[in-house]
Amino acid sequence: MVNHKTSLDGADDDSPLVQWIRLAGEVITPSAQLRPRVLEAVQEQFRRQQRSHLLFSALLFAVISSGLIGMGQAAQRGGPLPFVSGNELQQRAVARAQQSSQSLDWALMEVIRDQRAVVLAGWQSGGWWSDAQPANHSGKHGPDAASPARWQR
Amino acid sequence: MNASFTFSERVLRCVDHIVVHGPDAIAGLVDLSSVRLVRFATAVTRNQHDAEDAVQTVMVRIAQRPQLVLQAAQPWAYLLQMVRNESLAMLRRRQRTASWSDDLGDLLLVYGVDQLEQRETIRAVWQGLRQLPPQQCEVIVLKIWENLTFAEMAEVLELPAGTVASRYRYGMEKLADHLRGCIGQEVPGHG
Repeated sequence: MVNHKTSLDGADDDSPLVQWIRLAGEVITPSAQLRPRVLEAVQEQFRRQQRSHLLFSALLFAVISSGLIGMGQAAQRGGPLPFVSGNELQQRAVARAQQSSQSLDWALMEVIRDQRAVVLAGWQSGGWWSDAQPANHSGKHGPDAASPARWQR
Repeated sequence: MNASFTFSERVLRCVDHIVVHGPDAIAGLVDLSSVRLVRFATAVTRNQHDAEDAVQTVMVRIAQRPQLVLQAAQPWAYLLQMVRNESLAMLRRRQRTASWSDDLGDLLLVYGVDQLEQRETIRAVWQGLRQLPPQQCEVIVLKIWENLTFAEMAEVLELPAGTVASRYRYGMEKLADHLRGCIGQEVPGHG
């Protein structure tokens, strides 16, 4: 703020008009309620702020903890992927080819498709180790149902 | 200017106190500045109730964010500016809802024993101030009650110093016309 005075500053400081105005300013008094009202409003504001901080913290905690719990449940539910070795798939394909007189490569394709359906059903039903069965387009369940007769040779 | 600078320092000390001791320490700032802030806000809003509401709002804001004042180059001028802005906002709200009366029923005027004889003239001064446009009234109040220079007022009001000076001159002329006949009286001594 500039401290110098302009030429008008103090020009008529001693005039009766200025003195009367000064006197009028001296007689005005704030009401007795102003001070307690301000203090009450400040405290109320402080309390409201604390409440909103508390609410925000609780909300944040709830969101984070539910996220963590969800992640934990998903990890528990998922468990390790059911491992099937190439040899096992090969053996299943041979057995299937012999049972249904299919060619080996077609039987292998169906075995792999069934295995994939088992994995997907495990995810959707909430556990690998529940008795999840692959679903087919007709809504039937079970490894056999996944192989429509029309695909068989 | 020295007096105003000293007052600025005292304001700063009070605000520092709020930072250290928390919002409840606003009481110190209320005690120090409420009389001056209320009378300035009364000149702007033309109603003491509204003026006190404006001062209360500003005090709550400072209690919440004392840094606002701490960062100001001139804390007292900044505080006046805050109160002025809040008073103008209040004035706008009130003008939308109702018009104010010209009587002085809202004013809490406390006279000293030696001022009792001058009551009528003091009331006439207040009526004259209320009849002025708020822009002229606030300049007169800042100049005479707060002892600000035109340069300082220009900063508070965010106007060129020349505009402030001309508002002061026109306002004083109107007030002198209003009080013609009264101001011939002897003004009582005041400290």
